[in-house]
Amino acid sequence: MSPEANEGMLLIRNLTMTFRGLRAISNLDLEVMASKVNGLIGPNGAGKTTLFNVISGFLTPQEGQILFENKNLAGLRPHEICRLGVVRTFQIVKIFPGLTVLRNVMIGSFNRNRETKRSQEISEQALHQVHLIHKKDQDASALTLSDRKRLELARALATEPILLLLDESMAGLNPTEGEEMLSIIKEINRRGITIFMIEHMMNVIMSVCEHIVVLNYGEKIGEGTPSHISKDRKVIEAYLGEEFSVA
Amino acid sequence: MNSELLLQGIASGLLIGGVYALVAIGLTLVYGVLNIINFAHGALLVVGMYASYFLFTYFGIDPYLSVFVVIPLLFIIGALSQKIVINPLMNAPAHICVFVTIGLGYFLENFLAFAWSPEYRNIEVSYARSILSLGEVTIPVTRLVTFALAVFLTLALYLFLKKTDIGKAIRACAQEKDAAVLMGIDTKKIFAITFGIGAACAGAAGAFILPFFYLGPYVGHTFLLTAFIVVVFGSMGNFWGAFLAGLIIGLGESIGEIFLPSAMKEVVSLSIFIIVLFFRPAGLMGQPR
Amino acid sequence: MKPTTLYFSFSKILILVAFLFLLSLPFYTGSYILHVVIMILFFGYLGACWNILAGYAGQISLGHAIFLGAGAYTSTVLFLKAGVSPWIGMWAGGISGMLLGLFVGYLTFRYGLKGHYFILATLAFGAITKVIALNVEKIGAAQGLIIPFKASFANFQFVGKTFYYYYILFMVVGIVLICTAIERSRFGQILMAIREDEDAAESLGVNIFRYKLFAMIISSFLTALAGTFYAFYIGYIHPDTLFTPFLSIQITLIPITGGMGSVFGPIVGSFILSPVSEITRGFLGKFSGLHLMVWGLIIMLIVILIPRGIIVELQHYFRKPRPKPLERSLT
Repeated sequence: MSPEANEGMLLIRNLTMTFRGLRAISNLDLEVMASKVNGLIGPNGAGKTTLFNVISGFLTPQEGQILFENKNLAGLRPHEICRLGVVRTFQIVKIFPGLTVLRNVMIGSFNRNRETKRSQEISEQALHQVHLIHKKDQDASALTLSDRKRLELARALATEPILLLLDESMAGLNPTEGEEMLSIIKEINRRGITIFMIEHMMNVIMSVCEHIVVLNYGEKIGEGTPSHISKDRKVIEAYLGEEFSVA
Repeated sequence: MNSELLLQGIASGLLIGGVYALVAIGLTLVYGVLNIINFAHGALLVVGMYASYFLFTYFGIDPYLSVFVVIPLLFIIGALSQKIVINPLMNAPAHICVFVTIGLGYFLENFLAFAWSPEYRNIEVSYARSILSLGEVTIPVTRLVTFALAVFLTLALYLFLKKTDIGKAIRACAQEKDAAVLMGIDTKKIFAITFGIGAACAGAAGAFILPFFYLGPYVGHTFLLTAFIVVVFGSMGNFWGAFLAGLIIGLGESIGEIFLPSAMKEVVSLSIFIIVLFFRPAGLMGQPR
Repeated sequence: MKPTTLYFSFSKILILVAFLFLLSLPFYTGSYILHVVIMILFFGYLGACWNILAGYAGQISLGHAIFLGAGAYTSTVLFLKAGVSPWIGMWAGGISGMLLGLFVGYLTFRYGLKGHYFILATLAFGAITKVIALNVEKIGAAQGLIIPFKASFANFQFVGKTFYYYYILFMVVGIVLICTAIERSRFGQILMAIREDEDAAESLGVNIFRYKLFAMIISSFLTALAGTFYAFYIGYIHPDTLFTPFLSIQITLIPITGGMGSVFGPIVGSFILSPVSEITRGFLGKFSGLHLMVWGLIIMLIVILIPRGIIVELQHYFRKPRPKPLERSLT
């Protein structure tokens, strides 16, 4: 499935999400660019995961629109949003511990495939992509954190998404695992899937993202290329602390 | 339908509602902190009742005074039960705890049946027949005292939770267990204590109703179901929600009794439950999804 | 041979032997033993039906007795008032149970009310149903309903226990096949995913409401089917037996003991639990409350020591080998 190049893939307009009087997200406007790796950064509590929860349908915003392929996602249920091609991973990994690795992924592949044989093929392909194929018959509960994160990724891939929301895929991984994860993500993007990732590790974001959105206290304080936002004063003040130069 | 009947209904409804509130608060507290539904709660109430009965029959201690014994006794039983039977399962899927408390409930109430025989009994305190007249409404003194004590205990518990260190620790665990652990709170101890408090609430309620309610090993069943309804109606885990809901359910039942045949009394509270599920599943205090 | 393979080959042989044994049982036992085994199979069947909703989909119902009761009452009333043969009445019963399940499921699942809400809702519906059944004169109210005995095939009434025995055995075989099919199908896999993590499943495109409801419908329908069997076997139905939480809980204890989320778990559970229950009642029944007290203790022990049930614990102990390739999808 190849999306139109350079068409604004996900457009968020005037999004507001309130919890009992607390505005977690305020009048947010942003764009996730098609076919690119987009980044979402901001200090803790800025509303990043909340934004993902809203986009993926786990929360319903009070105001605003989430436009994806000419449809407004706001108010839709998570499974409907997945059907439309948006899938997410979770900050705290949510695997199906009682199922095997392969069966975990097959649940994802059932999104678009009814037939078991085809589902299995897609799932195994996804497992290949994340380098987990050799563990496909293991109990998911026996996996390490790094493997679990890749399992979650494979499962998301098996849904055959257009847009992939990654919530801190690198968290908890050691440098080697992190590098492997990063190369997997780059490869996924190379094959045509748009990526929108929340990440705390600045070097990761700056090196791999082509478009970055910066949040603070639920509001956007910066949006643009890595070099652009690394020079944006508001961003620097809120987040980076010192001028960060990009090669 | 005359207003006298209605006023009477309102009065008795509120009075019993206070008891429901106390029972439900114990249950909702346990749910809020341990995240389990304690199916032994009704049995614990009956244990309290029998303890009070025992003290009354053998030592002539008035049920309302017996709480000084019943509360610590039930607290210990509750805390011990949690440590022995529930703690091993804290990390198991939620429904497992449900079954263990069901087993605990069977164990407790049938212990009472075995020890005292399953026949129904009654006690009569010296003031059992005293009534208070407020205009057109007659209120048995026992019911009034029960209500007053139930409310008093509720307030005392509220202050305990708000002001004492343990109380704050309990509230912390209710809100965010992982953070509580990180802050150095001994969650295992808090779980045992909370369960003990819940049991004490139930037991105290049992002692409070002994003056006017019949005693039997399985009496807890109706209270348990009502307690569940009150807890859900008042929003699970919510202290004042349970209190308010207890009063409302008590009222609803009592007024419903005026119109419905007595066998159908439970239909009122059960209907409220269904309606809550339908329109406002998060309960009085919560937000629907 | 590795212990894993040994275990699984052994268990297959065991199942076959057990089945042949059960098949031939009426030839060398008397009425009493047949009755005992009938009730064991009956509860095993009920446990397996409950398991579909609870073991696979993870929704713990503590009110399943109402489906049994609905099935029993529907076919009984149709028979007594309209002369409808139970062979037809059982399907009406199944449907009424299913509608009840649909109602309960819809109310609780549609807001995604999970776990505890569902448990309590099932309890509440159980209580309401009981109150209603106790008060509606047309269906016997507190006296219950008696089915006059008149042996005939059309009446689903037979002299002796043999027919009933084979019938319930047939139902057990049926439920085993159904559960096996579910376990291997896409439908079953998705149910299990829902059980493991609803949110994750939903984020992957699973319409959890629909799947949970469907599991509920299947479970309640199959449970209700057995209601007719019960009514015409025992000959007497009453709200205090059919709509009590005690019965609902009894039904749940069987898969809990034998193994939730497994095909044979409920059957094995019933074969273990029933004798235990009989023995405790036999020895201790005369001391009021004592046997139920021991019963409570047994429940606690089972749940603490073998929380997943015997069969599932054994499976995990012997480390399930490479799972069989998924068979053709069912849904």
